[in-house]
Amino acid sequence: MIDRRLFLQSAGAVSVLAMGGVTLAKAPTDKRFVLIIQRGAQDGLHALPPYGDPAYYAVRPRVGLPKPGQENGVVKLDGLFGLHPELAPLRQLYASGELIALPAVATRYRKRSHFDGQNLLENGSGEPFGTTSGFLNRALLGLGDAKDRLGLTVGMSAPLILQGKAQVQSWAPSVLPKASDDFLARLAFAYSGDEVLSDTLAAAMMPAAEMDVSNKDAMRINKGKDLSLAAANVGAMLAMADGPRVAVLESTGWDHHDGLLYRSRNLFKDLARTITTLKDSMGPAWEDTVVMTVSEFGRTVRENGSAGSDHGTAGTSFLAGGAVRGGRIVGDWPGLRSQDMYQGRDLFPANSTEGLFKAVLIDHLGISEGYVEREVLPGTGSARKTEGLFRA
Amino acid sequence: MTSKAAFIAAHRFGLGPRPGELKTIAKDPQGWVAAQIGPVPLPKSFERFPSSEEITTKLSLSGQETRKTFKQELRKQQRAEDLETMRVKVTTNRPFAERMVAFWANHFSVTAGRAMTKDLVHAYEREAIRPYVFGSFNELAFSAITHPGMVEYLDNGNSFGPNSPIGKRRKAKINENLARETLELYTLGVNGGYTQEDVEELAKILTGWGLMSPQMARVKNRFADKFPNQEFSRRIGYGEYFPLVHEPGPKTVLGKTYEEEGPQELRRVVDDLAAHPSTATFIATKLCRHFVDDNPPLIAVNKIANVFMQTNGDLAQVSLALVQLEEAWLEPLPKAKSPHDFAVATFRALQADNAEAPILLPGMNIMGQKLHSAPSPQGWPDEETAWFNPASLMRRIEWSRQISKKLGKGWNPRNVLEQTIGPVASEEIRQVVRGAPSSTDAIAFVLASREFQRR
Repeated sequence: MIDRRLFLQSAGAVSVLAMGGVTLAKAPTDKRFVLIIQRGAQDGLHALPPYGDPAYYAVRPRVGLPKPGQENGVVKLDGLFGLHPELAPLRQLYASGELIALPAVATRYRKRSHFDGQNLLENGSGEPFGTTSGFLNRALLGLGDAKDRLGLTVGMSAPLILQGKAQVQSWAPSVLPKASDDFLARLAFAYSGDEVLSDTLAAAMMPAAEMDVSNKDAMRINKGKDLSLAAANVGAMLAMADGPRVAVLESTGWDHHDGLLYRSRNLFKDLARTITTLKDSMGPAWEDTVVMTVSEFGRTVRENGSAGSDHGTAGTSFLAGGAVRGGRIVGDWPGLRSQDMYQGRDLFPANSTEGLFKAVLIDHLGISEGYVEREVLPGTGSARKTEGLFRA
Repeated sequence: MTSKAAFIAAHRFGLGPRPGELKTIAKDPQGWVAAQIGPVPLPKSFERFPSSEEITTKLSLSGQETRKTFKQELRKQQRAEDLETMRVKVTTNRPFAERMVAFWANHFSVTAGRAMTKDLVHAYEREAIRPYVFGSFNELAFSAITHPGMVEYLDNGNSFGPNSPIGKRRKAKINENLARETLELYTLGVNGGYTQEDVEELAKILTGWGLMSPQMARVKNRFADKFPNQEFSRRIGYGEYFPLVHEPGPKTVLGKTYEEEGPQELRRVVDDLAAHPSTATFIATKLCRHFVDDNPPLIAVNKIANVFMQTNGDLAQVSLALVQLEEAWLEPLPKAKSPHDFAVATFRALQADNAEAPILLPGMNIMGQKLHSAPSPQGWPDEETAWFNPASLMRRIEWSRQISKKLGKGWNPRNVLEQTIGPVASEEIRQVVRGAPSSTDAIAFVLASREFQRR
């Protein structure tokens, strides 16, 4: 096999590209990780309703979801928890042991600004402005070389969580006519000597398994309106033997201060479809995959006067994938009585998001524990790695 | 013969050369840039666009129906203003001045996000930034921080002093956003030596600087007649000050106490922040990163910081010093052009002055830099790592082909090459352009070349 990047820097690139079959170096691991960031603070009690908690319908008189079996009711997981009805497609993953639901999880952030909360979540330093690189980018440096482009993002610029020294792959559907391989090969020759542009062009030419996306869908993807549309292509790229290994998908619009019932419906539908699309598009690679959902913080336990909820603390995460030891609810449940709440208003942060991240990085991706504690998530000694999440 | 210095003047300090321009610039590249320093009056064609005062008045006082009609009309005007702004950038013979307007608008970045910010962002750039880019930094900072567009963007309109006359009669909370960003992003910089207490004290000083939003109009309805002998609000420059929500008492920022003086407190503290050495270094670093190198040489930063200190932040002098930096004229290609500047440069190169502006706006969206949409208060990034990534580079290449197809007819590719990147063009790009299968492809190669993508 020939390293495509080296070739693009050589004068012979024009003819070689036409031959095809050039590939990037094999990735350092077969394990895949997809993080879905739900920006705006998902209402965790709405995603994973604790319908069996005696206080649930008292704190959620208007927006509480009906019990399982009723119209638009909760999709039952166990006697306490169920899924939002639009998340019903995930029930099958739960049944086949490929889904873990985690109630009452939170990062170290204890204030309520979206901006700061997302910064802290993404930079992994424990402070909103603690560092300017993202923790997943630093994790990539523990996984392989900075030039391996093991990270993957959708869109024109990487989110903070993937910004840093490790170069990342990016994909976005285009509404412009594609450039031919011949055109790109000639341009690659003209880029000789410019390492950055040569490398970037080589990565852009990686077979991205691009599906045919209509202009309308391309625009929806680029605006972040339809994650599941992007998921098929992201899954295909992750599935490649020499492709990226850690992808970040961003879902926006979760800040439901009012109208939670109707405003969240399409988002949950898109979330479920995104996860099932990833599974469908990854083929056998799904067995090596963990998908995790996370939000910057949760929301208030009690619904507010506008049938929504306000900024809070703990929320819900999901882990899905063939590598997950699923079919379980994992983590402590603090309860919904006033005395159970954080500051008398928020769901108590009983479980640690950083503990989940550590499990993914160390137990799943195989990055050394020392490196993770020191470089990736410093200062999280008290947030213990969550054990036993993955298949051996 | 054109020269490398002419290339640097036109691309690094400008928005790319128009046909024939490199030759003119080559006579005195540094002088060509320096001569552009001076007042940047608003072109006559902009006078028809609504002022922030008109916008806030109409949106806060009119009924729901008229408000809706006004907003629809406003959106049309904003689009017209965007097109006009792009036309100016494509045709101007003072591109360095436009670059400075863009630099400072990005330093004091306001994004068209929430409703009122969207309504005000055009007026903000026109009123608060453009008139001051070659004036004093403290004037620029004051006008930016107090403009209703900025006040709305960073939530200062809801920041009410709990001990203010109105604050004592209703729930009142101070919002720290504008104070924090003033210290962190606009003046001292994140490591500039301030504390959380300084943020809180500055936030008190900032209480009262608001805007007449629909919410504020409701506050006025409820409270104005309870304080019959006091003015409810007052215009100061383009800003609006509401004395009844200003937190009273002395405030201490960076160890200096500011006695209760109403709106004057902010003037004084901004003057002091502007004169602080941390501000000089912070601004100098940003200017050098923007115009010289992603990792600017310390010696260049120090030169600019010194001029900033010695001239009390006279931005004409600071800009001149920047142009005269030896370090800025050494390497021709260290910086990446932003998608915005790249798109404008393609239009200048092909002299696409009028009818084509509508395709310029979607082009910038496609390449990842929609107008008025910086991702955070930090504004758009300035490093090549942010601008050259696989997806965005591919869009630049596709855009180059598109533009060549649409606008390249009738141009001789070899002339386009010479008139844009000629002085620094590598043998490889010359070879590729010579051997291109069509003149459309040949021009696309010039636009997509490393020499054209960089500056």
